[in-house]
Amino acid sequence: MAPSKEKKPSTDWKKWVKFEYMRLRALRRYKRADEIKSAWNENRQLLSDQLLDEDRRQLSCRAVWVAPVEKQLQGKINKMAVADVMCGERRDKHSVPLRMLYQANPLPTMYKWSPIQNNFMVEDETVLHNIPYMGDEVLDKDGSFIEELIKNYDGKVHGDQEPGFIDDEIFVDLVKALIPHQNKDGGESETDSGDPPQPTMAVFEAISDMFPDRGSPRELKEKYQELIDPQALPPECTPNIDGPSAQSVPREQTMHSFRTLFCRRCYKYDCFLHRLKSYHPGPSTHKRKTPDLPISTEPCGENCYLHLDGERDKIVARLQPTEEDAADRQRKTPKPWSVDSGNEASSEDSNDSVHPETTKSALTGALQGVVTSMDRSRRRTGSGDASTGTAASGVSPDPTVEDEAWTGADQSLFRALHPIFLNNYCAVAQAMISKTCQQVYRFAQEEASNLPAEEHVKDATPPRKKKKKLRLWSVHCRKIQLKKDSSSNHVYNYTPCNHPGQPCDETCSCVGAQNFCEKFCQCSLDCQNRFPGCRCKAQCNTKQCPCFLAVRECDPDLCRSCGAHHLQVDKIQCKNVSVQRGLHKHLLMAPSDVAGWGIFLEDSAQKNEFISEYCGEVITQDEADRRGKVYDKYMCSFLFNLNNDFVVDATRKGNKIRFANHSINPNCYAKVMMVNGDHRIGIFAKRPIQPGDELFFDYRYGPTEQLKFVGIEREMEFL
Amino acid sequence: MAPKKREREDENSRTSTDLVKQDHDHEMFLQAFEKPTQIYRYLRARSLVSPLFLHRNLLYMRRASARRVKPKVTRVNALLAMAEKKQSDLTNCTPGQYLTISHIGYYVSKDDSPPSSVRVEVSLKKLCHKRRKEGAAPAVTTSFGWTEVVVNPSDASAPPTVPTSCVPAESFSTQNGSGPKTFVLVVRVSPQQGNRENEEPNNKRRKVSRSSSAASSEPLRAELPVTDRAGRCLLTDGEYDVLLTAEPASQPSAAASATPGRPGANSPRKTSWESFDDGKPVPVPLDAFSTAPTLKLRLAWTNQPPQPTVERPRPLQPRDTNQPASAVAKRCGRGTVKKEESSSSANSRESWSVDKDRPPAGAGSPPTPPLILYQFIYGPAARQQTEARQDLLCPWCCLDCGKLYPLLKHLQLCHARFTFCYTPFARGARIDVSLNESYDSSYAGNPLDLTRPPGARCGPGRRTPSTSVLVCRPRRQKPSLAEFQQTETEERMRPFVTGHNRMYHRTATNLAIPPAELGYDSEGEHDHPWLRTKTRRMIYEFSDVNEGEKALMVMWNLHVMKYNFVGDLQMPQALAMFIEQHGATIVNRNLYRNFVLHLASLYDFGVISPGHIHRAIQQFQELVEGDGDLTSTLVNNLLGAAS
Repeated sequence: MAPSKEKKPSTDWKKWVKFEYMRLRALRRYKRADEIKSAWNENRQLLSDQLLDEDRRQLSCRAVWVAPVEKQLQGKINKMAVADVMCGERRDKHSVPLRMLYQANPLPTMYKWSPIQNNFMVEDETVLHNIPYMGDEVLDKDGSFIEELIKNYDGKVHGDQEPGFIDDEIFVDLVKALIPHQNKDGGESETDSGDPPQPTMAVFEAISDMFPDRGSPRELKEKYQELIDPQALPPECTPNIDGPSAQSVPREQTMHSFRTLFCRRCYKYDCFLHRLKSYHPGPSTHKRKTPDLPISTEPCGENCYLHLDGERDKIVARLQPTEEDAADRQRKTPKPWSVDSGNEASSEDSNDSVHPETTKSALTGALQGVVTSMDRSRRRTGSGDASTGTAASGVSPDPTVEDEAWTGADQSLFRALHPIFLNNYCAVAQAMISKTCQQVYRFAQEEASNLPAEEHVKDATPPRKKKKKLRLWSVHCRKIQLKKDSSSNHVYNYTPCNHPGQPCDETCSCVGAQNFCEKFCQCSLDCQNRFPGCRCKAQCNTKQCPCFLAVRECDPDLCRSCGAHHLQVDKIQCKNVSVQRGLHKHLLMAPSDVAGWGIFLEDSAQKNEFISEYCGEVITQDEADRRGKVYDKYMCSFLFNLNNDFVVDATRKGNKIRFANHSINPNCYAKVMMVNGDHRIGIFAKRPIQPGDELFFDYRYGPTEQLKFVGIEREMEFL
Repeated sequence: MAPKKREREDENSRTSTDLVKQDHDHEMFLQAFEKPTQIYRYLRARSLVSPLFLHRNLLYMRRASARRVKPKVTRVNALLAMAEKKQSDLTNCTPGQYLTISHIGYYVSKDDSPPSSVRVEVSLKKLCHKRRKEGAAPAVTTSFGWTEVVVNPSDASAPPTVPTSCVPAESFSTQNGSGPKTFVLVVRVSPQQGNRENEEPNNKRRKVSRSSSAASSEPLRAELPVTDRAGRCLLTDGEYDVLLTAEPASQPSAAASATPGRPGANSPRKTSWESFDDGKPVPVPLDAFSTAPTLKLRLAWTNQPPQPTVERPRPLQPRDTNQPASAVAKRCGRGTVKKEESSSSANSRESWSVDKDRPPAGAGSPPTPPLILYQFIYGPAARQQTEARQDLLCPWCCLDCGKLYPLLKHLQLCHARFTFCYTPFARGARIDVSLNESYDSSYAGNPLDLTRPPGARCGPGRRTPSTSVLVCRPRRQKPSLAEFQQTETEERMRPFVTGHNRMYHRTATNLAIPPAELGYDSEGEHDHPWLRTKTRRMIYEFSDVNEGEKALMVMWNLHVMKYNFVGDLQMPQALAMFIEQHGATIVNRNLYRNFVLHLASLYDFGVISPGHIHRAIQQFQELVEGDGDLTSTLVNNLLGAAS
């Protein structure tokens, strides 16, 4: 395009672009305002419903006092409010006695907070969300405070977006809005009326001119194509395996969402606490010690692959040395599968839900039979033929081949299951339901030709010799002591180490941070740096217990003898699991005897008994510094140092213990403990506490060691 | 801290610079002690009107009282005998069989020129209590004879023997006759028959001196109640000065003046804080003892009838006063003689005597009341003021504690707004009184009363009673004065009723929690509704996660949040529960394959083993096969994906 030609429309285009852009922005603002309004209304409705519920409960409960109606004392009314009321012709005088309303004691101020029972990690705030209001005096007196605050956020305040702000949605809308203008431009007129007109290059040129940081016109056009394409899902999104559009994809892709979102430490997907990338090294790569499912030599049903020629002999031959022994075991104990999860056998767990093998094969066979027969009949009637499956590999007249028709979902599922059950096709077939054992077997043979043979990843760390096991434990106990003695005050956050092929030595992140390796680490189970757990038979509340000594809670997977692994809380005799199980005391909130709100114990507590966990938002030290600036001004802080990297802030999210006040002679103390890989703050009783006592702990050892938060305390210091 | 004392102190330390500061200090000092003192005064008045409990029932007070309370063993057979015995007579409460009255002398003022001796008649008046409106109460008087008593015997001129009268204890019997009775010992003094000539001058002087002249002309009398209402003997061993009044004017007030057993009733008390006596005039001023005629008697309970005359007893020596023990109304065994304030030492009333010569009959005599110094300490400047008392009455509620230990215990327990620290010294005890900084004055009643707006009640109203059952069986330590000494002032002040005497509020709404719902813990659940919503939203926000995955992940997340699983070992169980609770949902929402992928994911992360997966799948399929609808749904889903 000639520069002159480019120049000429640009003034017009500029105008149009600017006009449309402003219009869209305004539209968007209105839309947003409406959204906010409706959200507010919704919330308000929720709140008032809650209040109504509360009212109803209060009224249904007998123990209420009804405010006594003041008796009308004839002589005592000294003031009357009198009003003349003109009512047509008549003039009435109305009077009513004046009543004094007495001042009710105000409750302490409380800002809204959300209840949580576990810590909650939040990201750093890069923009200042609101300018805190703390009374006109503060602003008048210290005008520089707000400026300083804004400077902390690099001048970014929520809501004032730069004028050139544009996002995908606005961009698409803008382009669409500009399409009509290209007709006016008259340069190239679109003739086809059927399809929606495509934007010309001029549109993108104009936009690029207006927003130079958004890239060249060509880039913009590509982006637009991408955005408006309804078909284009994000490339990494796998179709639903249960849906109609399931495709045959590699295992990696099938498992991708589960793999990236699963939190190994919380057992949840996309958990609230472990939001950092480094927390999730992904599935452990080293070969697990768990024995695979023993392969049965008995056919699982009529379609079992073992009925195929020679197959059974092969298996039997492979299992020959152990066959007798295995069969023996199967007969004696109703425990055909080993249910180890990498650690020593949990005999208790496996006992409860093991079914005799005979019943289960019969049952699954039945289900499979239903599926296959229905499948077959459906195909014969031709109802299935009309729509050719996306991944159906062509229909052949041969019934056996017809059965072999593997849909994308089936293929993906097989690939997901194959590494688990390996060559145990019976188990794979049972899990898949829709395919018989023989079909699975045949498919597996096909796949095997494509895929490399199952690789055995070597253990990253050389395994230790077994006989040293006991000594290992005592070495660890000594190491704990050493660690304790030489402890600098720095406690670093735990991140699972991930250094394949190397043992945990000085280069290991856990060793460097003076943390033990946890079960979440990628290192070998025999790693030197792993904490061995305790073998206490008692309550693990003395320094006899290595866990207690190391300021750790007992790990349910490591400490077996103290009963930390029981699911039912009342079965646990170990007292060193209170934080992870949330065995907190019942706390009650009331106006404090000291300042503001206070928290009170409903029941009594023994010395060193667990009271509650101090929960809140986990924020970085930097974020804590920024937030602390505001909290300092308010003279009210819920910050609590967790370790060198993170701070717990109970301002926005927290639990009731956040109301505990500070005292120099407190009845509680705080202890940061390592609980299954996380640092968590436990509040414990420093001395026996009576029911109804207010709880205090010494802030100075926990939060930022600044006394300025506690006005009362300062006065005491001066005395 | 009487006003005059305050002035004096200021005078002593009058320096122009310090004066203002000192005044201010003193003001602070007074203010500090004023409020608790007034509170305790008020409480004392209230407990007089409606006592909550009797002090004598308290364990530590029981030790103080002279009576030995023996544990009574009641047998049914003995009930009648006991009742009879109780009713029978007063002999069991009189210390001896015979009440011997030794008439030491009759004292009138010297200028009356009294006769050398007078006749004294001792009689017992028995008053039957009035029943309903029977008119005058029947009274029976029994005379126990006349004796001659020397007038104004001096140490030198006293005859070597004194006449005695004897009242046998049987005469106090209440058994015969109707109804309960009170006994009054009446002492009547009439002039000696042969001294008629002295009568005239006395008559003349009647106009000059107030009432004393009446004594010599007409028979004078005095009444001594023998028992109080509870039937206890008031006439204890000792020497009595009996104030005599003219016969016709035998008002009870005159008689009461001489009753020795009630020190509290008529001994004018003047504590330094403020007067207790409601401004009522003391019926008989103690001055009367120095002017009016008195008869000095010595009462003793003996077990044999005495001789008609006995050897004159040595006069009892007052302890350390400058005046003879003229004003002392009584010396009773309890030794609760009121000591006047030492500052007004010029006053004659101040003199006190606790002369004790115990008759041999009275065994186990208590020690003389020690000198107790109350030292009021206040403020950083250690401002203090000392007040000395010679009795064991509580300075705030005038409770007679009898001994030092009960007194200290009482102070500590009943006046907890102060702290008391006991320091023994040679002549008695010093008690340092200071304000108890850590006194817990919080209201211990129904918390609802606290939130009730004050305007809702007109005038004083009764608060809602709240009951707390206290079971406290502390190991009793042996009472020892050491427990009041400095050492353990910190620990001891724990309230007995601990608990929830405050209004609790909900954390979400700030509304008051009714007492019935205190037991519900709003933190009991791990998955607060907002967290459930949050996790759902967070999962659904992902753009590159497909619908099936999202649905299953949310379901699983909610399950894990609800049960708070903590270890790998719990996962198989978690899966079993998940299948049990959500199996049908998984089938109905067509998520079976996603569920299998979820299992595979758990395996990949090393959480569960292939065995667990196999078992989970089996459990799932069993669940499905158990339900026909589910089976067909599952099969349709699986085939639907295929076609």
